[in-house]
Amino acid sequence: MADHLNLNEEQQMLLETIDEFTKGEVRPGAGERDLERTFPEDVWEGLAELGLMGVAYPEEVGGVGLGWLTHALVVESLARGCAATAMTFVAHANLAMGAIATAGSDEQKERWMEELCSGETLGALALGAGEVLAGPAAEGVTASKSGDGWVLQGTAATVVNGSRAALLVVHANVEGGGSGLFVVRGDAVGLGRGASHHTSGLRAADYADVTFEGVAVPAADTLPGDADAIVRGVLDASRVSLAAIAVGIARDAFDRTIDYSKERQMFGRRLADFDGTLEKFSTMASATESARRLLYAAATAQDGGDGYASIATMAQLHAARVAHDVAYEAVQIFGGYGYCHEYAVERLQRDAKMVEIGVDETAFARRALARELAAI
Amino acid sequence: MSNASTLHEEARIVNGILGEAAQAVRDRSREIAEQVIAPNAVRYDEEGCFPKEAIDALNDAGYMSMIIPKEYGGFGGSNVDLCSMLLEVNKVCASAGVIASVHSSLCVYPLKTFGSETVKQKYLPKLATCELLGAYCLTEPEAGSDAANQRTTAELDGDHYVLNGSKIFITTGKEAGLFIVFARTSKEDKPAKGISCFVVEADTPGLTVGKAEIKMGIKASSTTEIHFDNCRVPAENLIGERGRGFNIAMEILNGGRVGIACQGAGIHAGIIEELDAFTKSETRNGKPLAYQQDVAWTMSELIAEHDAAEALIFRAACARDREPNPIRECSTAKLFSSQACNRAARRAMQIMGLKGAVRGNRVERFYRDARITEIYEGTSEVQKIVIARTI
Repeated sequence: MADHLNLNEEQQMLLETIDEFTKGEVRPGAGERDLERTFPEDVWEGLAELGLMGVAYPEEVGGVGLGWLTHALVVESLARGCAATAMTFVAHANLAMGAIATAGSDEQKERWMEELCSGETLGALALGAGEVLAGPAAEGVTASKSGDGWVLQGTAATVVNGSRAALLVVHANVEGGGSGLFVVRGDAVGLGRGASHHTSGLRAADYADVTFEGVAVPAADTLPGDADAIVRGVLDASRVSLAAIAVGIARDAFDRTIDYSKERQMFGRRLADFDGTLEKFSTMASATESARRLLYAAATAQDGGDGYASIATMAQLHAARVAHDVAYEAVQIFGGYGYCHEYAVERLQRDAKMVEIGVDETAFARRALARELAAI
Repeated sequence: MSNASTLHEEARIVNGILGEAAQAVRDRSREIAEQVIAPNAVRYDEEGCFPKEAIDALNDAGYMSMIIPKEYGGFGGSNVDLCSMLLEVNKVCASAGVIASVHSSLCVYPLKTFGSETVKQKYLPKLATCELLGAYCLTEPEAGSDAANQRTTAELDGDHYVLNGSKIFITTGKEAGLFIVFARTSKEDKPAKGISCFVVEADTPGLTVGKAEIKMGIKASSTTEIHFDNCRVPAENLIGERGRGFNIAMEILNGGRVGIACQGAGIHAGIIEELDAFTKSETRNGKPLAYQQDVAWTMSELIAEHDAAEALIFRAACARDREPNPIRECSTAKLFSSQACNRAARRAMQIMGLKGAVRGNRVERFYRDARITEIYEGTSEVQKIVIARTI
């Protein structure tokens, strides 16, 4: 499949590096991490060494300055090896870093971006306020004024990287109205973490509740600006990355299916030689490729600046559905083996489902999309 | 019974109006499911342990002997009775459901249908009390959908057959006391012709239980390899005619498919129950989720497909009570029901979001359990070949 992306030499080199890293370091342990629900510790260190956390962010804040298309390609590559690792990466590089990079003052960016870009610090975005909350949420987090600073109280539910993050950007309701963004260190007094949720898929990713019991935040650690709008912007950006995870899963499932179908013999022929298999291949391939192209279009629009929210949502919706369809079909083609953990495709189906439910967690985005397109 | 009254009775059953006996089975099964099985179902899944309380309770009710004739100590029920029970068990625990289905459909059925009187006397009473739990060994590494490609051999040596070979994906492999086993008794014949069917006790020397698979779901139902290494089986344990094994295997599976269809529809019913409770208790913008238009649409489609699956299942069960091997009825029930329950699981989890995607939630468990129904006892692709041939 030709890529037609007109990548420059630097981007191409970086992609080769990440593809190699995925193949050698990310993919081999993915099944084990799924079974044991272990955080991809070694993989994370490797990613940090490669300097990939800040691919999309400008060099002046410690990033690489290669933009969002490159970022999406990195996420897609990681997800081809391990979707849970890719999700961890997105929670860090899109959500936590995105909030600081878009809203932080120069001084704040200088203070936090470097350690996040280098991967030395694991970040998370704790959503505890407003309508951006994913459906039936916990009580949420409230910020009350205390002297010059703020005090946080409450719970942010199912924060990705929640049980491990060393730096959290907290979106909290502000007492008296509105919301704010507060940057909190993981070891802050009063900050508690629930156990990582035992999820169906993306099991090596860490979804945990974070509690705040009188966590003090100095004024200097609050991000300026309209917090709701900032969070929406960050979530719009993350939708492109979630689409990239979905595309990565679909491609992994497709590649594994092709390999298996060429090996597996039945009725004296290869499975790949049956008409029905070929029909399935063509459906899987065209679905995957369409999701991939929409992803690249969304990421390119993201690099172009404003006005990409709709295409980002469409890319996420479409890619998530495709990932599940393709992974489901992969399990079907593998048959009994497909149902066994050893053959990986059942993990891909579960991972795809987690990515798909991520679409509804931002149901408001679907409606925003529909309203925008229909001009209502 | 005249044809007319039989048809009238069948029409009622397909419409979900069971006769008195089957309705009693269904009611009692629901009680067992809710009181005994459901409280343990999450633990069974988490620990991947044999669902002991579930099988014990079904055994106490006599339902593990559902299709064993009374003269062999069985319940003496019909296929409609069997389906009535399996639907209720699967609604709370698909692992217990498949163990019960395999026991009756894949082990009891061939013994009572093709077994000699000696073999029936020897094994049916023990299967009736669950002293022996039944399993079925057909699949091999090179013989999945292509089941005729059997490599396991059985050579006659005096008054014994000597079995050699390996089987995979054997449901209840760890706990079974009795195996229905297919092996090649002649190398000369065409692949499908030289196969024979045997019944083999688990403690026969030479029979060993191999590796257990780690699966996506039905985790409380063990799935293992079974190895035969010079395993000597009395010649009287041959089931049906020598060389007719492949046809027997297919006829057994045809019946088993109705059991898997019940698994699908049971899972489907459990998902609807769970989703109904969720969407009525969760609110969005001050009103229950159930009243949100897109949610109501999804729920309605789930219900329509569930009801269609049950109707196909009872059509198949009636056909099986009427004639030995109704292909179209069994395969359509299995194909439709298995696909429908997977659609239901996917869509229910979508509505429930993360709450439906964490361990301990029935929708999460059923999402994983449902996936196998499109695969075992003939994949959907196999069902499509079989159904197409009936035209």
